[in-house]
This record gives sequence, structure tokens and C-alpha cells, in this order.
Amino acid sequence: MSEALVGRHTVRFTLDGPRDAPVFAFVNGLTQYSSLWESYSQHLVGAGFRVLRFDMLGQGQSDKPALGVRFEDHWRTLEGILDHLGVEAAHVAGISYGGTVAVQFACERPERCASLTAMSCFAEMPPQLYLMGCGLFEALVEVGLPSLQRWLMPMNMSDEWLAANRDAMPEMMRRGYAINDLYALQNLMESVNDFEPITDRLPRITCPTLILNGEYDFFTPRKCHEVLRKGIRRSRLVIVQHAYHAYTLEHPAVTMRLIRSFLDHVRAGTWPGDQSVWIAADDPSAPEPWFPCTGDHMRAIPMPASTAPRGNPATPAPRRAPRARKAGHAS
Amino acid sequence: MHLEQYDRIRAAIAARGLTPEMETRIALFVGASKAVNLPFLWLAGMAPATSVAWQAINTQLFRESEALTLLLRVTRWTPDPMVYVLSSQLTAPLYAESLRLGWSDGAAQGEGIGLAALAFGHALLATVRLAPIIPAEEVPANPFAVALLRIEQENGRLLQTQIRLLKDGFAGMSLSDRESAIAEKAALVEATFSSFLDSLAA
Repeated sequence: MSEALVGRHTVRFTLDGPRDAPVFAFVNGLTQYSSLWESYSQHLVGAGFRVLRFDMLGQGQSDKPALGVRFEDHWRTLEGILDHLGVEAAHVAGISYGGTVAVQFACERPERCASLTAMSCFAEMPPQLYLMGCGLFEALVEVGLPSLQRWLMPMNMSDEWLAANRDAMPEMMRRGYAINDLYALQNLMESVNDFEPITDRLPRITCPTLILNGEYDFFTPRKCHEVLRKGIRRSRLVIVQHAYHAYTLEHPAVTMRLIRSFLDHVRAGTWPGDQSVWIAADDPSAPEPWFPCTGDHMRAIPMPASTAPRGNPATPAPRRAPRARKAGHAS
Repeated sequence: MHLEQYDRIRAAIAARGLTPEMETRIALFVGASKAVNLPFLWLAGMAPATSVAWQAINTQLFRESEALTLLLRVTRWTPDPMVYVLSSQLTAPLYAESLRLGWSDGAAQGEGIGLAALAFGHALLATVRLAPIIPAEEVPANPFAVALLRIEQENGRLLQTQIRLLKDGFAGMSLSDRESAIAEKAALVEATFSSFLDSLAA
């Protein structure tokens, strides 16, 4: 790994791809490390990008300040690496903790963000997310890292994945335990406590933006991504079918295809960015990567979309709604 | 990151089991990492119990003592004297640092001893982690393996105590100075722990 001095800390990163290609940067989730983007990097290098992967302060090979960093230090770290590389602007993608870092970078440095891919993340913390975060922090501090891992597994992955990987999970957890320093993880999680909502700054993001949300993600649910969709002018929200929080790991082929299609549009200057809602094709070789969402994307039951403002009692309900509810109840 | 060392040690334990020699070597190192910190906790515990910090330190004093007594009882100690000689060489830097903190720097630094001792405690609790060397099949029935895991679980709680005290206390000292003090201790403990892992993996 290469290294850059950002402030008084050393950050380690990997850069793959031709020197003159546009830079695409990945920002890790909380317990991730940069090597987990390896297959994504290969894919995007093949598509003509120069891919930057780095460990945030407190992660993997980068410095782990004993008393922690502030949440906003992470986007500054990304900026520091870009400065170190002499890169003016980059396509930026991040997931979960790193997704919010990526969104924050796009808010604070819109001129340096060529495109934004925001995955499983938030601009503000609704009470459920905040309390789950508190619970996870307590699990980490009071019970230990294996407890946090056991909570994160079912939040991140589907039943099918968990069943298929049941035998491999103890070793995955052991490696995660060995690679993640406990004090650094405690500090990273604690830094979220001081996170200030950035919803009012979302309109500053002017670049094409792809927002990805797992269909069943109950950790950062649809409403978190709805805030992003409404606040970012040139965005589209794409819902990844059958996915939970960590579809980059569970559905890499689908996710790679979505990012690649988005980038093709960005490079061609054809990204519609109309704040519409789409559903990702389950099959990564399907003719189109996504199709329009015609139902109400905010509901878990398949209600038709309402064109009226939500919660307006003067507006009559869509005519098909009662039938759909009844049918759902009967089954 | 010690993954490669952990893998080799776990493979050795999986092949030969947790022998009395292996248990003794581990117990002497983990025991040392507890023993070197106890005098500072004991001294701090003599202060008036007027703060929340005092409760945290009092808890730590007894948890660290508990870990030591647990190891003393569950370890199958080897009669081979060379194991003790080699272990004393491996743990010597920890004892030397403890003595240096207690007798050389303490009188001169006044309040600084608190920061240095907490930084040392942080480094010990953050660095000495052995759970990944235990093969999964050893856990349910092996008292030594269970004790190691219990101690490490407790270390996580105590680590948060160090973080809190170092973050929230010492307001007169800059964050970077505090981090430098911790980094100095972390480097010493890391080098000592890495040598220990190498010796176990050999």
C-alpha cells in the first residue's frame, strides 16, 4: 500500500489503473478494510478508471489515533489523499459509515466530486437508527467485538447468505476480530455520536448521484435514502432487490453493474438525475440494469404509488389501495 | 495486525492441543500485562472516592486482579524451568517500563504519572489480544481457553475506561500530547507482544 500524510496522521491507500484515467474512490464501511473492494477495483479499472481504495483513520493499515477522530475528519482524509495525488476531482462512492462520509465530502467539496454513489447511508439519523447505533456501541464496549459482529451479520446479510455461509462465519468473524483494533473501532463508533445532520447541505451537491438502498435494509431503511433523494438534485434512487445493508458483499455482480451503468451515463453526459425511483434488475446480465418503481417505494407492502402529498387528509386515497391491502391481509 | 502469527499459533495448538508449556507461556505473558498495571491502579484507588473516575479505576483494579487469580488457578504450570527463564526475558520490557514509571518518572512528573500509567494501561489492554489463537473446538471444555476469552472480553470494557479517562481528563494537556504519550507506550507494548507471538509461533 502507498501512504500519504494527512495532517499528522499516515493514511494508507491503493491506487490501481492508468495514471491518466479519471479517479474513482471507494470509502469503507465501519468494519471494512480497503482490500474488500478488490473485485470492484478490477472491474472499474477494466472500464477505464483509476481506482483509489483507502483505510480511513482507525481502520486497517492506516493510523489509528488512540483517542479517536471526529466524524468530519474522514472526508478531510479523502480530500487529503486527493491533494497528495494531485487529483482535482474524483468519482466518489461509499457504503454505510463510508457512504455518509462520501455524501459529506460531496456536500463540502462539490467542485471536487465528479459523481457520487451513496450506498446504505444517511444524511441524518432517525431515532431508530440512532438507538440501534447506541445499542451496537454498547454491545461493542460492554460485551465485545464478537457481540458487535453477531449483531451486524444479520443486519448486513440475508437469511440465504447466512445459511449458505454458516460454516465459514466463525473464521470470518475471527479474521474480522484480528484485523480490527478494538480501541479504534470503539473510537470510530463513538465519533458518530457527534455527527450533525447534513440534510440542509444536500442541495450543495451538484454532481450526478446514484443512491442505492437494499430492499430489506432495516438498519439504514428507505427513509434515510429518501432524504438523500429529495435533497440531491441530480440523483436517482435505485432499490436493490432482496438485499439488506451490505449488498456490495452479498450481491457484488448486481452492484458492480449498477455502478458501471451509472458511470457510463455520467461519462456520456446522459445521467437523467431526475430524483426518480428505480428497482435494480436481479439478474446482472438483464438487458437493462434497472426498471421504474411504480409502487409506493416507501411502503413495505405493495401499495400503488400515491401522487398526493403524504399525510394530506383532504386528498382521497388511490382507488386500488383498499383492494391491495385486503389481498395482502388474506394471504 | 498479527493475523499471520495468530494463524501459525492456532495451527500449532490445533495440532498438539493446549499443552502445559503453551499454557504457562501464555499465562506468564498475560499475567505480566496485568501485574505491571496493578500498582498504579492500587495507588489511584487510595484517592478519595469522590468521582466517577474513581469507581472506574476501582473496578479495573479488581477486574485485573481477578484475571490474575483466574490464570493462576486454571493454568497447568509446566515444571520446565527454561519456560520461565524465556518468559521472563519476553516480559522484561513490560516490568522495566512499570518500574520506570513508578520509581523514576513518578516523583518528577507529579500529575504526569497518571497520564503515563493510563497510557500504559491503554496500550496493554489494546494490544495484548489472544482470542484468535484459540481453535474453536478448544473453547467449550478447556478451562484455560475459556479463561483467556473471559479475560479478553473484560479487557474490552476496561479499554473503554482508559479511553474515557484519557479523553475526558487531563484537560490541561493537548489531545496530540496525550496521543503521543499513548503512542510511545503502544510502540513498546506492541514490540514486546510481537516478540511473544513470534516465540509462540516458532
